[in-house]
Amino acid sequence: MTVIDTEPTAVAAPLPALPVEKPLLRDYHAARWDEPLIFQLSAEGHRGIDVPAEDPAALEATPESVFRRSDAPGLPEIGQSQVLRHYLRLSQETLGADLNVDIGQGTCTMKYSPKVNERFAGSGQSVHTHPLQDTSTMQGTLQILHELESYLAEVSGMDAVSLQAGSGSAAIYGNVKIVQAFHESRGEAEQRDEIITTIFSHPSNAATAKTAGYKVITLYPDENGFPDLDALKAVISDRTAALFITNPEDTGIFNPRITEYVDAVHAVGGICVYDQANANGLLGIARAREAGFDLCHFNLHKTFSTPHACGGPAAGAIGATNELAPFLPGLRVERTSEGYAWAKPSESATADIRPFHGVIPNLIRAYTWIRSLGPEGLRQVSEIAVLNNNYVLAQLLKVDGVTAPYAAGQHRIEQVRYSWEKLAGETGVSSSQIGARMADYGMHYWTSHHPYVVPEPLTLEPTESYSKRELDEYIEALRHTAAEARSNPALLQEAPYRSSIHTVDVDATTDPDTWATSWRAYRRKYLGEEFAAVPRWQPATDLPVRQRPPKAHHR
Amino acid sequence: MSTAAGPLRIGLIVNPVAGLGGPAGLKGSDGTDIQAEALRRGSVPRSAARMGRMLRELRRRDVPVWLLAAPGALGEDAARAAGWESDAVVPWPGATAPAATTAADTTTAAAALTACGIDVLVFAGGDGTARDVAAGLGPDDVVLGLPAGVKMQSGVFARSPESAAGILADAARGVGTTSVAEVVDIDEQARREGIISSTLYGQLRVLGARAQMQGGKVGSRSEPREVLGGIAAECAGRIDPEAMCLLGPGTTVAAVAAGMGLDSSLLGVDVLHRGRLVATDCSAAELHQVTAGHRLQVLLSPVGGQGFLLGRGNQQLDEALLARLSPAELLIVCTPEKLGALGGGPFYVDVPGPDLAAALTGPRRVVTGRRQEAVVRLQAA
Repeated sequence: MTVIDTEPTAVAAPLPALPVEKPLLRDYHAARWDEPLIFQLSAEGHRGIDVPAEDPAALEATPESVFRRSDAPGLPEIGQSQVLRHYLRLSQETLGADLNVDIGQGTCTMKYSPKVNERFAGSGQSVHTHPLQDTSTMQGTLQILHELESYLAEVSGMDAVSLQAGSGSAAIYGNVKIVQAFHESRGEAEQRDEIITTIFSHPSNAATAKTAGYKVITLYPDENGFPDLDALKAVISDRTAALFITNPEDTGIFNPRITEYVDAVHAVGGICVYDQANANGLLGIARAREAGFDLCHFNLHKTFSTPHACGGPAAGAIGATNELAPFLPGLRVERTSEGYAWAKPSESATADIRPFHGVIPNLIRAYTWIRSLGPEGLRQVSEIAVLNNNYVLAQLLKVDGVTAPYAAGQHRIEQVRYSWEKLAGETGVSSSQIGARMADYGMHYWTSHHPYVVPEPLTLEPTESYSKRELDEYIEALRHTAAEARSNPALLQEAPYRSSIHTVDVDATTDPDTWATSWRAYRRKYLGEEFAAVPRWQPATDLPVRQRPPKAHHR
Repeated sequence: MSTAAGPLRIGLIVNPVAGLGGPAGLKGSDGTDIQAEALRRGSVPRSAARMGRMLRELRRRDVPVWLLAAPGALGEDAARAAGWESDAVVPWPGATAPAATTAADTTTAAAALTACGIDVLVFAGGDGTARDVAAGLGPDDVVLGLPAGVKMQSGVFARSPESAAGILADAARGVGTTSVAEVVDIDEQARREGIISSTLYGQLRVLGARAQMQGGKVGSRSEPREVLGGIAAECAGRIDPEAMCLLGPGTTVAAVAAGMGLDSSLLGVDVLHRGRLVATDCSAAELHQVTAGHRLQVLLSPVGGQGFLLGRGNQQLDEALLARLSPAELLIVCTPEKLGALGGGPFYVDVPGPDLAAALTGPRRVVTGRRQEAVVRLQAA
């Protein structure tokens, strides 16, 4: 085993200054491979591994023979190095968080996910356990879960934590079901059919509430950018089940009067739920408990560094006060005299959000991240995230054409929703066109959730993971793009030019008839091949068809 | 504009026939035939009264101004009726002042007033008046519109006479700003046939910041069927079949009617009763007649881009009708995208009389979809 000494053995001499300073604006060009589908690379007889010929008789007695399929699966025939090159090329055509300055994903910016944590998450003690094996054989995992629960309880101020949800939205859904179960236990579930949220809160609040059958009431911002408190007071009643709210909201302005909202909803018997999907600016600084909330949740992939995993599985954690803890879903870990064990779930517990115990590898990553930082480190994370954000804010406000609506002159917490309304009015170039041009500089860019309340929006969240040089690169790319909008608007209207692909037909991407999520679907839809119909579940003819809202386009 | 020394020099123009078609349900007032029809249907000229409201508020604010009015019905009469002897009446270029007021008179008056060296030309009228005023102005002239048309699409209007007085008072104190706004007008004849098409006629320099104007109307983009369908389904459960439900203009309200299998007039006010449209495209007088003795409900959607809920495009809902309406029976619908573009509100209410305004303003629930509401502040314009 090699031991790497991380302590410097001697004070290093300062590096000599480079003769030429590299400009902040990169001469970037994305890779473009025009890569075929892996099925199109298939060549008969090619193999990744040459498996010895089987002796059918020798397998006769094995359990696998019972369910072994008779026909070979239709996988491509391809060699190892061809597979490697195929996926490496595809990865070069993306702008992931490990590649670009990914602060343009405001509200969803992923912080750095330390690679060392993969060693713990991927260790045999993690990946080779089965959720049903005896707890005496997985004491380490249980200890990690137990301690992670206690850390998140400390960070939020809540009494109990459930780690079962496999995503942030699943955790919010869990909170909605807890609200429902709580009111049911008091015989008020029917009467309390309204959930209140705000337009600048996490949209999953409204979405999950509606999924669970609630009527959703949305508060819009007052002239200062805060949810209109008078509007809240005007609509709360004995029909109010809960308030789901974020603080700070997508504008990044901390709401100092948050307890007034909480008190007003408590006064009519409603539950207050703090959406802390993004708590990047608050670790060790402000807690849900002190603001009076009954429930909260964290996206562990947002705030506690675990990967987003391309849409899942991620991890969400729910925090509850003692009053609501009995309704938490899933098994929780308790420490007994014989070690760690699954606690017997309360009779009031809500239904499991997913099978078993949550996404253990992600919970291990979050645990490792917290342990490596310690309490002071967590607070420092937030302080740096806030500092980075306010640095970007100060620099961007010097760019002609961009504004930060609401709270003029104030500092923001961890993100800002900017507006290009002025630039758009003067040049006709929209925020989404600026975003397309940013791809030419190797930068990801996002506007806002719909509906656009801030006109021509841009949302940036630097987190603590980016250096000043990287922030300056992003700012420079934006400044340069804004200047291009004035000097050559037509250029932006056709962008991008140096990206892997050109603009995508948004309507096509939202039309399922154009999707091919499997090779078979591709052959059927695009090559006209016919396949035997797969038996599918057919809805009963009298089943009511639910109306669904349309897909919103982000651009 | 010069505001550094001396009083603010204000030129006044009233288009006495502006807005006549509104209460009559005529979608506009262009042309002498339409104006005659509006008068026959009981419409009362109101643009002079709106100029009067502005002048009274301006006097209350006690700022240094100097008035120069167009003669007779074109301005002078309104100033006198408001108890304000205008400091001067602009000499009319012709031998005698005009008796009938035509588009050309407005243009002539605008040119004559600006030739006398005014700081700002204030006119009461609608989009047609704005067009006619623009035709008489040079590129550096500054205007301010008092909304007195049926449903203004141009961005040159203050939200109300009172807010216009506020903008003028700021300018008189030397803290005014100007902005550039578009003059837009629609083809009223096409609109009567249910076709909305508007044309850009140029730009004017306007007194006041863009945020102080009522804003140009933003047309409905084609909303996905599901959005309007959700609003329609939600409203179907809230419309009381026993009440007389007045359906206001606009595509969102029309979608609610369509959801109930009804073919409403896109731009008029219709009456829904027991699942049937009992009257369509009504004037104020007709609405009074049809709904007499019945409880009222009113279904309205704000004007996109402007946020006006009452007083633009639906003047048929006059003071007497609104006074009969219990505020809880005012149903408001708005698509989420339109509401977002309006910054989440406020919605403006331009109604005569402070009592009515007080009854209708404050935070209100707005239907934005199936089992989905927003809370929006209603505010007097």
